[in-house]
Amino acid sequence: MVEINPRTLDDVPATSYSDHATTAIKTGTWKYVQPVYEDKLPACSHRCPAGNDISRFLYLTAKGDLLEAARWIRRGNPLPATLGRVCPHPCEDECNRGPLGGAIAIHMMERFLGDQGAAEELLPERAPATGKRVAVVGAGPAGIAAAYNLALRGHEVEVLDDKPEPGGFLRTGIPQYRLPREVLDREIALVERCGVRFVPDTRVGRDVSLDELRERFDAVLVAIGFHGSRPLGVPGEDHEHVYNGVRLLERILAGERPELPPRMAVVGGGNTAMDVARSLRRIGVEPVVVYRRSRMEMPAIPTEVDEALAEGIEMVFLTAPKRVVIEGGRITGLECVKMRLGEPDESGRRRPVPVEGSEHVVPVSGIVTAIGETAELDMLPEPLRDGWRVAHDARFATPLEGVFTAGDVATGEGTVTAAVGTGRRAAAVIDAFLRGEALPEEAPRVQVLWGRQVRLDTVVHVEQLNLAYHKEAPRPGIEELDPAVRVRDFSEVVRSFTAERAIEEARRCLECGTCNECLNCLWFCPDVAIHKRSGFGFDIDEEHCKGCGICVEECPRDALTLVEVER
Amino acid sequence: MRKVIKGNGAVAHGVRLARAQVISAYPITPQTSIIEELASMVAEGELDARFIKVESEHSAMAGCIAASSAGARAFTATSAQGLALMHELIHWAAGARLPIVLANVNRAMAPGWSIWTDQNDSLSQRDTGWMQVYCESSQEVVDSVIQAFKVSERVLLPTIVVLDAFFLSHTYEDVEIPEQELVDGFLPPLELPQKLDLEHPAALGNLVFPDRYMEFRRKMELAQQHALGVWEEVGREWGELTGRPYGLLEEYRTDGAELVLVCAATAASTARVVVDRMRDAGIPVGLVRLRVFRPFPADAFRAVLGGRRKVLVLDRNCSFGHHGIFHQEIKSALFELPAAEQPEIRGVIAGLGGRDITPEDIEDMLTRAWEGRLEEATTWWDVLPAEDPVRAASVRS
Amino acid sequence: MIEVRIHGRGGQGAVIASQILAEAAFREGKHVQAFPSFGSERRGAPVAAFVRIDDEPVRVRTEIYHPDGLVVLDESLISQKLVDVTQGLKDGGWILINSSHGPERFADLGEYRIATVDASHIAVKHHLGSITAPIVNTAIAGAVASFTHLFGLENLADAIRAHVPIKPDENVAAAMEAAEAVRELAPAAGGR
Repeated sequence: MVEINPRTLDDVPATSYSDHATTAIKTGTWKYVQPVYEDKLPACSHRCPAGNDISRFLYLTAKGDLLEAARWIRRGNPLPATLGRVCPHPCEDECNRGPLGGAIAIHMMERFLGDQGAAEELLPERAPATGKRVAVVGAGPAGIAAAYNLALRGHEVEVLDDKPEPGGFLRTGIPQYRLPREVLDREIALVERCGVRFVPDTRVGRDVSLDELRERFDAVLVAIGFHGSRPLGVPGEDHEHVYNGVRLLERILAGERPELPPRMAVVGGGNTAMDVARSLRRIGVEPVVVYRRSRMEMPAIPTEVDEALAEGIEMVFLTAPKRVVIEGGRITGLECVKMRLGEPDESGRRRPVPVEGSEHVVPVSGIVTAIGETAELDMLPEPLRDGWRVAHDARFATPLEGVFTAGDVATGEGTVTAAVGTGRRAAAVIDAFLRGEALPEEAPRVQVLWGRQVRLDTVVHVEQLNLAYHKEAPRPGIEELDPAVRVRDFSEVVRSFTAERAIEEARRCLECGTCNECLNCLWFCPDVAIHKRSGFGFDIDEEHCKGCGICVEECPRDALTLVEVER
Repeated sequence: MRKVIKGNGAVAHGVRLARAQVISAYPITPQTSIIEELASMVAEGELDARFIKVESEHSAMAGCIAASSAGARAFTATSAQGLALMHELIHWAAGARLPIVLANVNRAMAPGWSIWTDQNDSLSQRDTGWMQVYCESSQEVVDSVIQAFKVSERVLLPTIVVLDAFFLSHTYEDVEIPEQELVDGFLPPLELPQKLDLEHPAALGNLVFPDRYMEFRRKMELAQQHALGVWEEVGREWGELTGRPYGLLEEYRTDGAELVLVCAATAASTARVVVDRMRDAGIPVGLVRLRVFRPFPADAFRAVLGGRRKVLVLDRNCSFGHHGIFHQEIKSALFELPAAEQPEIRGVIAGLGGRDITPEDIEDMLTRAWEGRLEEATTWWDVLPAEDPVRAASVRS
Repeated sequence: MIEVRIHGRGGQGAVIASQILAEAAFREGKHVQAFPSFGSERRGAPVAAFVRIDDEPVRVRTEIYHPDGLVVLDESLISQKLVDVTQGLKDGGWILINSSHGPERFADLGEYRIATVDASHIAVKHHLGSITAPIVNTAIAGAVASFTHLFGLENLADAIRAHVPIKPDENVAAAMEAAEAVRELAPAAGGR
C-alpha cells in the first residue's frame, strides 16, 4: 500500500507509482462546473409548423434504421408522406448545413420516410381506451392530425366531412402531380386503422347540428378550413366563363373534364393559381397567369413557380384586371392595367400601384379567379363566428364549452403543415379536457409533443456548433419528370429519393443540438470519466469528471452543456 | 525601451534584436510562449525570418543545423524531454561547429512527471561541446541571447541560454529592451567561413578515420578554452554599450567573506537578499553567481574562492551517484589550489522539480554551513528523512 | 516592497489583473514582478496571481507567502470557504473584495483594512464579458488604485490600454468608475 502522506523516505515508492489505478484519485472533487447531456432545439425543428423531430428521424435514417425512422416521424404527425410533398419547408431556410454545401433536403426526407413501411409495421401504440368520444368536424389536415392524436390517446374519434371521401383540401385542392391520391389514401387508411372513424357526406348545419354533436360527444373540434373564394370585384365577373378557381380545381381533380375555353387567364399568384394553371395545362387549356405584383412577391412556393414556368406556362406580372371584355356574349379578353410597386403594405410586401394610361387587353376567352380563400362560417352558431375565423383562445377553446377549433379556420396560416401543427396542439388540449385535467394557459408548443427530453428554450444555430468537425458536402439534386412529358397527364412530377440516397442525405445532417453518439466526448475526456451506456447515451462518472469542459468544447453539435456545480 | 515582459518574452526580444534568420521549433511547456511570440513577430513582420514548424524537437534541431550550415543565424527553444529528444543532434551541431543558439527553459525530467524547474535537463548536455549560460533575471536573458550569438559566431560553437521554468519564464518584470541600432552595431551579420553554397559544392559531416578524428575533437576543446576569454570580452563590450557588464561569474559582497555561497539562476537572485540580511547581522558571507558553465571558468573560481574558510555550493540538480554537478566541478577546480588555500566545501541539493527555494531556506543553509552543522559532503535540503536506509532506497538488501 | 496576492477563479482574469497592477506601478517608476500560481489551471477552480512592487529592482524570486494585501475577484471564494484567503496576510494588511455587499459583511476576516467594490456590476454596465461571466480585472484595478494609492489613475489607464486589446475605452471607464465606488470598512466598525 502506497502512503499518500508519507512521513519518511521509507514509505515513498521508488518512482512515481501508485498501487491503485488513477481511478483512486477522485478528481471529481476538483470540479466547479460540470457537463450535462442536454439535447437542444435544432433550428430546423424550431421553424417546423408541424413540430417534426427532424434531427432525430434523420439520425435514425443515417443509422439505416428506416422503419424506426418512419415510426418516429409518425409520432403525432399522421401525414408525413403528404407534408413531404406539399410543405413549403421553412425548415430548410434555417438548416445549419446551409453554408456547408446546402440545406438538407428535409422535405424529401420526410416524403421518403412517409412512404416507408407497411401499415401493420407503422401502427403506433394506443393508450388504453378512455371511453370518451370526440367529434372532429372537417377531414382536412388539421382534423386528421387532431383525430390521429386523440385516437392514440385512447379516445373514440369520429371525423365528419361533407365530401364523399376524407382529405379535405388535400383531396380537392392539391393536384395529383404534387400529391398522388394513393399516397393520401394510404395515410388516411393508417389513421383509420388507429381507430378513427370517418363519416362522409355529412355537413354540420345541414345534416347535423353542432348542438347535437355536443350532446352526443364529449368534445367537438371544428376544423373546416377555408373553402370560400374571394371575388375579383371587376365588371363582368358574373359571366359563365369566369370560374372560381377552388371549385374548378376540385372538379378537375375529381376527374371531370368540363368544356372550357381554349385560353384562360388565371388571376392570382398563390399556390392555388399555380395549381389551377398547371392543371389546366394538363387538360389541354392554355393558361396565362395574371399577377399584380412581381415574381419576388408571389406567395406561391418558389419551386411550384419554377415548375410551372418549366411547363411553359405564360405569366404576366405587375398586371391587375380591370374589366372582363365581353363581345357578343363571349369573353374576348381581360382588360388589365399595369402596376408598379410602391411602399410596403402591412404584409411587408410592396403595394402595387396602377400606372395611369397603361390599360391593355390580355386576349383570353375565359377567366379563373385564384386570389385567396376564406372561411365559410354560415352554418356555425353565432358565438363561434369571429370575422373570418372561428372564435377561440390561446388553447384553441371556443366560447362554447367542449368545442375547440384548429387549422386555417382558426389561424388562417394557409399551409397544410401549419394545419397539422394546430391539430396536434388542439388535440393535446382536448385530451387534457377529456381527462378532467386543468387546461394549460396556452396550447403547448408543437415541439413539446415530441416525447423526448429536449431543451426548448435554446435554439441551436450555426454559431453553437463546433465547425471543425463538419466538412462541406453538397446537397443532392432533386429529380423531376421532364416537363414535356409531365404536362401530358397528372403523374407525380418530383421523383422520390432511393433508400441509398436518403441514407446518404441523412448522414449530411449535422444533428444540431441532438446527441447522436458520435463518441467525441468519450474520446476526448482526459479522465476517462465518460462511459457509453448499454442503451442510448452516456453516463458521466461524477467521481472523476473534473469539470474541464473539453467534452463540451469538442461536442460537434452542442448536445452538452456546462453547468455550475452547486456547493 | 523599458517594458514589463515575462522571461519567455525576453528570449523572443533577444532573438528578434539579434535578427535570427531561421527559427525551427516545437512547443513544450514551459517554453511554448517563446516560440509563440517569435511566430507572432515573424507573422507581423517585426522579424524577417523563416519560422519552420516541425514534428519533434529532433527535427527542430535538424532544421537549425541545416539553416546554420547554409550560413543562416538559427535559433530554437525547448525544455526537458524536448531537449533530451534533441540529444543526438545536439552533439551534431557542436561537432559541425555551428553557431546555433538554443534557449532552454529548465524543467525537471520525468518521471515523476513535472513541468517545474530544475537544471538536470540542460546539465545532461554538459559533454556535448555546447556552451551554457545560466540567467538570473529577464534582463540577463535578453542580454545573454544577444551575447550568445556573438560569442558562438566567433568561436563556432553553439550556446544554450538557460532560464528557470516559471520563476523566470512566466514572471513579468520590468526589462530594458535594447534598441535595434545598438544591437546591430554590436552583432554584425553572420559570415561563416564554410557554408553550403550552390556555386561551390562541398560535403559536410564526412566519415573521419581514427587518424584524424582526435584532431577535430582537440579543436573543439581549444575553442571552448578560447571562448572563456571571448565571453569576458563580449560581456565587457556589452557593458560599455548598455551599462550592464557581464562576466563568466559574478561576485556579490565577497569582500572579506569567509563563507561564500555558489549558486546559479533565480536562486542566486534570491540569495542576494539573504546575503544582505546576514551581512547586516555581522556574518561574513558572500555570493558567487555561476553564469557561464561551459566553458567552465575554473581559473575564475580558484581566484575568487581560494583562501576562503568555507564554500557552500547550492545545486538545483544532481549527478546521481556523485553530488550536485556544480559542486563536483567547483570541488575539482579547487583541488588544484595549494592545500592551505583550499576551503572547506559543502554541497546542498535543493529545489528539484520546482520546489521553492525561499530566502529562509538559504539563510538556514548558510547558517548551518557557517556553524559547521552540515556534516555530509552533500545535504539534500527539505526532503523526508530516511529511517531504514535500505528500505528508503527501495532496493533489495 | 509591497507584495499583493490576487484570488480568483480560473477564467476570471486574475493573471491579467496582476499584469495590469504591475504595469500601472511600473509606470509610476517602480520596479515590479507579476506571476501566476505555477501549475495547471481549471475553469472555475480557485487560482492565485501575485504582484511585487518596489523602489529597487526586485531580487526575490520565490512565491509570495506573506502578502501585504489581497485582491479577491470572487467573493464566493470566501463565502463558500473555498480558499483561506487571509493565509499568511501580514498583520494590518488590506483586503479588497469584489462584492455587491458592503465591507461589513467581511468584518469576520480579521483585523485588516477591508473594502469592497461591486466590480461585477460595473463590468456588466460597461459591457465587459457577459452577465454570467463579467470580466472584472480592469474595474478591480481602478478600485486598487483608489484604495491603496499604489499607482495613480492616469498610469492605470495607460496600463489598461497596454494590456487589454479589446474595448479599451470601456475598460478604462470601468476602472475609473470602480475607483469611485470603493466602500471601506470604517476602523471603528471593524475594530474588535
